[in-house]
Amino acid sequence: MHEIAYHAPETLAEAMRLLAESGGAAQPLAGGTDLVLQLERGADPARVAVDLKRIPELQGTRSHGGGWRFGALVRMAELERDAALRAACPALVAAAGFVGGPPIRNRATLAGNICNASPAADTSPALLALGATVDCAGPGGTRTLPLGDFWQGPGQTVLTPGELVTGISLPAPPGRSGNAFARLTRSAMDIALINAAAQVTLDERGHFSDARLALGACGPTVFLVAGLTEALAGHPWNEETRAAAMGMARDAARPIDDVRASADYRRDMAGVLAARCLAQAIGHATGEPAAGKRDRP
Amino acid sequence: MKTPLTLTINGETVEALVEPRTTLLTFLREQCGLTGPKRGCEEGECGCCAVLLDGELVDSCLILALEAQGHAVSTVEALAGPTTGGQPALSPLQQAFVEAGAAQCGFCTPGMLMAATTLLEQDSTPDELTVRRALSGNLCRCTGYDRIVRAVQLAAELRHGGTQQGRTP
Amino acid sequence: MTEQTYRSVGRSVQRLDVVAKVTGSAIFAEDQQPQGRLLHGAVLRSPHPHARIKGIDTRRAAALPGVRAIVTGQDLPQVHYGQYIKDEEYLSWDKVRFVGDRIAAVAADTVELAREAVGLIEVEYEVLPTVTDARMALGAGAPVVHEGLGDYRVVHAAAPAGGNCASHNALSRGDPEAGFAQAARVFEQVYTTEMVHHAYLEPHACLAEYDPDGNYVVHSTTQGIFPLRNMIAEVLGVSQNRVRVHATEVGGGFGGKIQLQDEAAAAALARMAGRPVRIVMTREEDFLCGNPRSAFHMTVKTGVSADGRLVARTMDVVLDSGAYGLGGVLMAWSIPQFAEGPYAIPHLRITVDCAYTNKPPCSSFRAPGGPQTNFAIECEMDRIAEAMGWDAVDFRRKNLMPEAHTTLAGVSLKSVVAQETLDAVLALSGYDDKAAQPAPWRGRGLAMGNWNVGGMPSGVAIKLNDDGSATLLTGVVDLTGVHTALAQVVAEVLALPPERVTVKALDTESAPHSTSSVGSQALKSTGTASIQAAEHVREQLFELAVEDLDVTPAHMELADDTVRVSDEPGRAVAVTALLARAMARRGPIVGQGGTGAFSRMPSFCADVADVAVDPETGQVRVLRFCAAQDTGLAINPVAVDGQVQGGVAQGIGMALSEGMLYRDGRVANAGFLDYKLPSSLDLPPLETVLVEKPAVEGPFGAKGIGEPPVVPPPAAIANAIYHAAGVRMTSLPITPEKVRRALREREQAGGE
Repeated sequence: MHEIAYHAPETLAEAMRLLAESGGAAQPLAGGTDLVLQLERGADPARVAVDLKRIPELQGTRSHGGGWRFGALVRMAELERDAALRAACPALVAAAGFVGGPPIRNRATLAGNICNASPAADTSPALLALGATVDCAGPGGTRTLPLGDFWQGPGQTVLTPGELVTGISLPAPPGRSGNAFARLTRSAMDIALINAAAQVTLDERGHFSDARLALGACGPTVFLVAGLTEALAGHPWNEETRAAAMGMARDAARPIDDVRASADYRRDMAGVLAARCLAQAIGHATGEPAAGKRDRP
Repeated sequence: MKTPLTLTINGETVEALVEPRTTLLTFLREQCGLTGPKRGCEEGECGCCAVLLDGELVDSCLILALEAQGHAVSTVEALAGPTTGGQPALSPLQQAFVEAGAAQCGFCTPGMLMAATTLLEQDSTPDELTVRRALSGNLCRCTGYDRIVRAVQLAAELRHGGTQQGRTP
Repeated sequence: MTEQTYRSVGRSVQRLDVVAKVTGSAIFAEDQQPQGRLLHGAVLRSPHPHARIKGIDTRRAAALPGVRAIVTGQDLPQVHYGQYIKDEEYLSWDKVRFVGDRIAAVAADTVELAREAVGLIEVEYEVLPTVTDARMALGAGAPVVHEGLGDYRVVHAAAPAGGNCASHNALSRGDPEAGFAQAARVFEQVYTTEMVHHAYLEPHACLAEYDPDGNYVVHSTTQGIFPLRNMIAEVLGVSQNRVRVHATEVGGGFGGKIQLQDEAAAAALARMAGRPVRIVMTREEDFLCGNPRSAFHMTVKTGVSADGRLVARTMDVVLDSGAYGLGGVLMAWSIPQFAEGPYAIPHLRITVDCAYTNKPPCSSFRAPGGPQTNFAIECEMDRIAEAMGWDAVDFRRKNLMPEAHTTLAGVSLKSVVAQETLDAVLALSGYDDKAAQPAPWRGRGLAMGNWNVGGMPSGVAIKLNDDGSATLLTGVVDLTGVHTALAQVVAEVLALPPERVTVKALDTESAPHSTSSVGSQALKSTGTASIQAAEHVREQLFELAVEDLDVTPAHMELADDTVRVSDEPGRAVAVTALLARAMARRGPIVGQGGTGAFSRMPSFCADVADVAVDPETGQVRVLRFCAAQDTGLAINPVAVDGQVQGGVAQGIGMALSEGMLYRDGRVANAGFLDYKLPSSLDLPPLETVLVEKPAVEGPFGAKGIGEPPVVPPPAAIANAIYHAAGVRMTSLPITPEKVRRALREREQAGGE
């Protein structure tokens, strides 16, 4: 177990310089709930910790044109306190509220959650379903990419050496849309054994015009269930579309057996959570409670 | 390499030298002699190490001491008033824990007290579910949580009604 | 029994240590400060579930700067030790038998260096085939965990039966086979449970010092200072008077802190390095090396008569002892004595086979064997009642044991309070208010439980101070508030307010031998001894007062710091005067009391659980939980109630979410993330009622209650799940996945 060096730069440029010059031995430190945990376990995730928390431009949430931009340092607890965000994006706020327990949520950042790239991270399906994009900055300049392109595998992102996430943006939710998040496990202090988030957009008749369903903890990365919009567009939410969506979710899931659950159970639950998320997202869109008692939260 | 650290702990300025890898928990316990925060898992899973950092509840085992540079930390040792007549002046919250029988082995108690302290500062009359949610990052293996929840609600009452008369230790 | 009014016992008082606990000043083992510059220890533990040790090379580790001492099995006498069967090597020199088995230990300037040094110790292993299933271990051809089983010395309880059978026991009465033949109907079912960890929030921790006079001082989070001292002395090969064990505050025990862990290694290192050594387990180590509740496989066969009686029962238990026979062999001996349940069954046979496997050794965990066997017993009661068309309450009532029922071991059980306890939970829960149709997917379940508590040898002494206040000297560890109860007991006899009684927790050097805080009997044992000691003090005061009061001691009483003539408060002499007289004539007044072993006394509990089942996910939510506990006289009701709530919480955890998972013999969920303890959001409010019928034995009629509350919750919840969802769960923990699978199987079988 090695010594580490610790820096707390006050500008983004300085942070990027520290990350770049260490030749990959440096890691950004935001909430610390992943990095410090690894250090505690005797792993050597980094020789240099670059604490980002003094950099003003990485802090805070800005809303613009009905959308949001969360700075890299925005913590789960801040999302939980944001009433406007909760009203418009309950999927994200609900997901944030499941991360660890209160002391973890006071430190864990949204950016850190996606950078850790665990397929079970709770905010990931919500962000993916809501169409999030990720702002990155590195030696090569800045870039923005869709969240779906950000993860390469468990624990792996497309970030290049010296590059860090500076913020995450959500577009304004489309008119007549709703979103919801669901996950399975105990009530607190737990990693999801499966989670899901949905964003649906309805037409004037209340039929689907768009449907995005993200599944987590049932594949190497969080992913959107392909072909869902095509399958549901023009149809109402009923027994048929419910069954179809559940089937598509089950088919898309690629879960593993582990200490938390078997692959079979996860696959089954992918379908159940898909139904519940879609129903609750419709409820959010229409302002009515989720259709069907069994799909209530 | 040891790095200078200056922060406020329980209202007092503290200056020290720490290895960067030292967690806030280890720093408080071994360099500051504050053994109130406990080491239960060192993984942010149990809440026994919970302290307040700038008034917010955090697991000190997942924070590097240097991250607290220039910040204010409060531990359980700050809750009681000055000792008079040989007995510490327990805060209403501590008194409520005593009256409600909320401490058995006592290992989770410091973390629970910090979680309750920050809750009561944000919500002076929390209902049961709010209390349980606020304590959901603190495990207890002895009590089943019932008496702890009751203690927090009792403390809310004591803080409301008790301020005029004050509490005798 | 006449109603008595007491001054001290029977009133809720705050625990003596509670102010220290709410101010964070209570000293736990890791808080304990050493004399001298502290070294930190770390332990090398086996990475293999089963291997022979061919060689250990510590040179690279010793060369690391900052390493001050290393100890291996070569440095200690190679003796086998163990409380019941001597099958353990402390620092393994021959074989390791589970992942986590202790091999060596290092003391260094920092804990990081110590751990790094541990990583540098080179061990040559000959990896051996592994056996991790208890029934397979008992079968032909299984790898043998203890080749030397036949040569091990048995201290108590164990009856080794060769192969991997660490102990076999069978007790019976009547003729079960004949009973089955005559029964109206016979039922049979297999029930299983997993290993469950104590998961106390304070990991094992100790601090050891060695003084130049050749004495070891060990501070440990232990539930029993005397057995620990004895084991340390045995393992180090020194005389017991050379080892002093001092118990620090214990951050949760539940039976998981009664074995020798790293203390002897720390002591040896302290001697070798000449400095104090602290060893604190990481949470992962504690899950790997702690001693969990054993996993049971139970085959239960029951014959009932047409008129609702339990006529015949056989229960065959295979229990997984893990790698050593700590708690496993003890349970093989004890299970037949309580696994009849709270019932009287005329034809009964209970057999237990305790199997060695290459998993962490099991020890006692709050009612060892209780919740496991009760799960089988009470689920069967429910299942049989339904199949026979009987009311589940009446079926139980009809079969509850009477006063003076005799166990299979021939012990007559006194102070049977089973009926009243059942009545109490029915009243508390409003069980019979079933006016409305139960809601879909919601259900209510009942379970009764029993637990027999003994008592163990304990001595105490009481000194009276010059002002008449008292100090009780005891070696019993205050795990659950026993010191507070002892203060109340002494205060009652000496007619003092409890604040004027100090309970001094001594160490093994200064305390008279005391029982450990285990087995729900710390209060019974030391409380009985304390009453004796207090009466002895009182007797001496009364003798001294004869010349003032001119009556015999039989006509005297203690009150208001005087000895006075009963019913004549005007004729009194101050206690301080008597103390002064004693000093002048014969020396200070000291009272002594002691007890030997007690025979077992039963205690009963009854639970009602209300659950909601989510049929699509299989998740179970406990909506309400009611628990009635037979307590005898509750010396300190708030503390007793706390024990009930805490036991129920652990029982609910065992029912729904807790279980150790193994991959190739290694614990796969060695942390709070995946070993799922209930959080504050996972438990409902826990409603309790204490049934206080003073027992015929025990201090002021108090019964031991630390353990019983954990016994019935799993069965209550399983029964509730049946009534909610129509599926009988026969294996613990009842995870959502298992419920979902059971529901699917029922659908496919053409069920509802």
